[in-house]
Amino acid sequence: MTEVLENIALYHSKSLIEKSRKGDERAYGKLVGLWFKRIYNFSLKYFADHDQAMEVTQRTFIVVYKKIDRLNDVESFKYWLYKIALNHCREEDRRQKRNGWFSIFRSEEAHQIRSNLGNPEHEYQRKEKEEMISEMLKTLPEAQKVLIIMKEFEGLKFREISETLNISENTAKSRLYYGLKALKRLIEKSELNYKI
Amino acid sequence: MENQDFNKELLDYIYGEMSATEQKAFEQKLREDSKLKSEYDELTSVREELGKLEDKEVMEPFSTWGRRKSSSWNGRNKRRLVVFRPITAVAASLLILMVVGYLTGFSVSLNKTGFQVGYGKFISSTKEKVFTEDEVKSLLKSEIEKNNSMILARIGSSEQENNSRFASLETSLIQTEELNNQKYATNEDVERFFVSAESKNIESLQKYLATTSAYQQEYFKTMLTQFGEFMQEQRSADLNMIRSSFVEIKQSQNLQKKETEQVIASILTTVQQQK
Repeated sequence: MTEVLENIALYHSKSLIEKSRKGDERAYGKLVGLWFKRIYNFSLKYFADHDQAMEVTQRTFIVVYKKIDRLNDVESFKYWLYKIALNHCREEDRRQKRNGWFSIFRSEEAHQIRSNLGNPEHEYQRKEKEEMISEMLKTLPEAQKVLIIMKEFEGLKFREISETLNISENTAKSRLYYGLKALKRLIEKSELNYKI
Repeated sequence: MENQDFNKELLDYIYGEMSATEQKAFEQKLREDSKLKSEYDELTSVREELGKLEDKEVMEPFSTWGRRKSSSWNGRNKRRLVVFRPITAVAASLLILMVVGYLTGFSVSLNKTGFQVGYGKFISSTKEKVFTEDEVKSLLKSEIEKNNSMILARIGSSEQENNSRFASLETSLIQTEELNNQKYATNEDVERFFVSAESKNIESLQKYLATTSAYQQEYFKTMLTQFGEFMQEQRSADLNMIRSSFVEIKQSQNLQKKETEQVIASILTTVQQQK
């Protein structure tokens, strides 16, 4: 189902990208509407923080807006878009590490906001589980984390990932494999802690 | 750098990036190889956990894209638009601030007294009046005069008060003296008083004794009469009691005698019967 929707989006993207490159702002607005949620969720998985994800998404689309006329191959729009988003994620991550205390406050605030949403117990547990996995994802090495996000959540093929990240398919597979293994260990550890 | 000890086919199979024939062949392997199966299960379980992390809905922020005519838009204009957007925003903010400042009377000023920020009219720095030496002297003189006259007036009023107090004190002293004079009696007066008091006492004592002796005599007389009567009654009662006691004794003697006679009689009869 996701794939079908993605194909539809991509099909629409092609015509919208063409129009945007020719200077149609209305088309660009639609293009943003089509990809905004995807790039936001990609960034959200990367940071597990709404504010940072929102900032990265907006910056990504500003850059796309500035540089879309330089995009030669419409087919490569998807990789190009993810590449810009990933670059901004990395930039934001570096900035966050520089201002450690501020990011701690922000993530704490975001955690608070998340905790305040939804009262029922199952909803709370679901959110708690989501938060736990997000945090685990954050602790993985960046290369493995990006692979997991791109493959698991963005549904990119190994070929597409290798093109986006400029790595071989084997490297992509290897990073994903070890990323998943590491995540498995973290989950087991947390379950063990929970049981204790 | 990364370890190549992993099954690439397994990942292709898990993520559906295999052809149908490859898939079939791999499934056969999976059935046969338990280690591969456990590896597959492990990765699938992690994916299941990751599947719990759902996409979040997000609202696309308000943008001006698509609001301009496409015909007037090209690469150059686009860059200018992006560059000038913050400048326009700053200019608009400043304009709003200026209008609000004008309407509220907001003002900022820097003068000798310092930096001032506020609403409405500034309170102008007051021109303080500077007095000359003569003015100060005359002011001091007038103040001293005022003070002196005030002190003199107070002294006058207190003098009057003191005079009236002295007068009242004098009269009270005279009164006290008179009282003192009245208070002490002479020795002759005292002697006279005691003599008169003595004679009065003797007279009253005599009267008292006279009345009390007559009364006591009467009282004793009645008391003796009553006592005599009482003694008489008592004597007659005692006599009556003695008399009745004698009668009783006599009666009991008679009874005893009769009983003794009866006993003797009965003994006699018994003896006679035994015989």
